[in-house]
Amino acid sequence: MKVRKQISVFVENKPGRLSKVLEVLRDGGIGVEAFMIADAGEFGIIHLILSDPARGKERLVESSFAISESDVLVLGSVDQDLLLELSTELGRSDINIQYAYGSLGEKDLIVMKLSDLERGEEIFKGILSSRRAPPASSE
Amino acid sequence: MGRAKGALKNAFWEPEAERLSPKRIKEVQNERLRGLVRRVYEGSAFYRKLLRERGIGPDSIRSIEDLEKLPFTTKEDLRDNYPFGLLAVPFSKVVRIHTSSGTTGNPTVVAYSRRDLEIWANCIARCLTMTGVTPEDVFQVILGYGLFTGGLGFHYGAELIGAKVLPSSTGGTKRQVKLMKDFGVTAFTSIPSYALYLGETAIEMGINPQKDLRVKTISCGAEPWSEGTRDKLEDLFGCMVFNSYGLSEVGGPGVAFECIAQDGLHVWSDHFLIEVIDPKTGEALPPGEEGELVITTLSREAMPLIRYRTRDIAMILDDDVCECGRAHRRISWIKGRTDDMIKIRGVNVFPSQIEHVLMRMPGVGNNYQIVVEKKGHMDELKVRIEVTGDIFKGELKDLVELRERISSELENALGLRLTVELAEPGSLPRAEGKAVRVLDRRPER
Ligand SMILES: [Zn+2]
Repeated sequence: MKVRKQISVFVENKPGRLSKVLEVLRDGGIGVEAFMIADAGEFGIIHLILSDPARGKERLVESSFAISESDVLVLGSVDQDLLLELSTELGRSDINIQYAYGSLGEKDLIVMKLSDLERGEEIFKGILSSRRAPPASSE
Repeated sequence: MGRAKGALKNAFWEPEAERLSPKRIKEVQNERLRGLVRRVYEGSAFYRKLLRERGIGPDSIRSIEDLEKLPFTTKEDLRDNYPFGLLAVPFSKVVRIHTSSGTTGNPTVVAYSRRDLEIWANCIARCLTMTGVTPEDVFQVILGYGLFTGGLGFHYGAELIGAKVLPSSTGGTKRQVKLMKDFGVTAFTSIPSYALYLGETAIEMGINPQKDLRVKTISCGAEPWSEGTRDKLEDLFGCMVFNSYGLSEVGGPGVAFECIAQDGLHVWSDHFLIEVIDPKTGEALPPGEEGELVITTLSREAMPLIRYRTRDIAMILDDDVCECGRAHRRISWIKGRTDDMIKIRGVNVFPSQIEHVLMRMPGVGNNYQIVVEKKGHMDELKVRIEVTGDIFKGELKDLVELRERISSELENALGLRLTVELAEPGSLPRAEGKAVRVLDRRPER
């Protein structure tokens, strides 16, 4: 689990905009680890988790995109039970998941934008340590 | 702000002419109007015919009260009499010829005698002195040189003052900024959209316009703009920015200019007589009422114009003597042009009204485009605005809210329903010269 920089790009909702963004990143040798497109009619936002967010940001700004960065929680090795436990716990602590994207399974990666990142992070750490703490009875 | 306002209170280029009392101005105007009618009667076949048709003799006009008896002159008259049909002096007296670009047909020709050029340079020198330019200044003329009156007009005016003139003309934005920095430019003139572009380019180049440049006074004109843009420019450069008005047909820039009061533009009333009329009926309107600006050139020799219809919309302000000490008549900012006016569902809309609203909203870009389309029988007004890094915070709902806020502000200001579209940075046409603001896609009627 890590707190990472998410890069968000403003795009008009018309064909070819995602490919333009991906092209700029590829030409800069920057890897895309996860992405989501959110749209509101005639415009939208592409959220990106990049191998090198600082350089990714630079390249996108050079290509005159309007971009913005924010901190998000990025989780790896997540199974369905863990995700359920975490979201239940966040709900109980009144922390809102503003949006999230990702997948479970082999190459699992979940990205969460939270209303309170720090506390969310603590809660997740707590869950993980409590999972590890009990003696490995089931194994 | 760069210069103390107090010091500018006594900044006059031609103190006697600039400080004429309202009464003296009227006397000068009466005398010069009588002289003008006599001159065109003798020298201009075009005006002689026009005046005779109305039964006006060389001595029929006694004072400016008789002005309404005189006929209007229009842009069509200038085109129809291309190239030299409106000369009022023998061709041998002409020492300079400019033209104004026409989108269709013949350009408009403007001819100057030697004395016309002298008066023109002095008018510009008055404008610049009034706004703080002195012989100490390095003055960059960022306006087109050549047939366009802007570049050479300001060039000779600034040179007359004794400023160090840098004739950098237009284009090559980064080079312009470099010269501005390297030469310690303290004053410049350009069109407003280009001044904004210069400031933005400076920032992109890592140059802070307020700290790394020495600009203390700026004048802008030659395209419609708004006080919102002026505020933006003043913030960008950290100095006062003054509105400049003129049009090539009556000789170019230097007809009217803002003073330090920044409360309307003084028309040099010893050389130009102004009226505001109802563009439909031609009737004169009182101060405070908006209409078409009409100019009579009182001093021009080579190509004087009587009651020239500028197509610019403005109003005459009250006739109090201004705090700067000048009684020369003040006009408002130009609200638009009679031909720029877009009629949407029966409502008159000027691009400057839209610009004014956008400029007041923090973080909204300088770049916008107005699109008018026909959907069925209805005119649809769409305003496209570029999203900048300043506005965009990565959240969809902020953008949706911003779009709502812009449309409600615009709807309030215009009294029209419209749609706002957010566009990617750099996606709207941005000419290095005049920005392409209006796209009217309605079929011709
Ligand atoms: Zn004044």
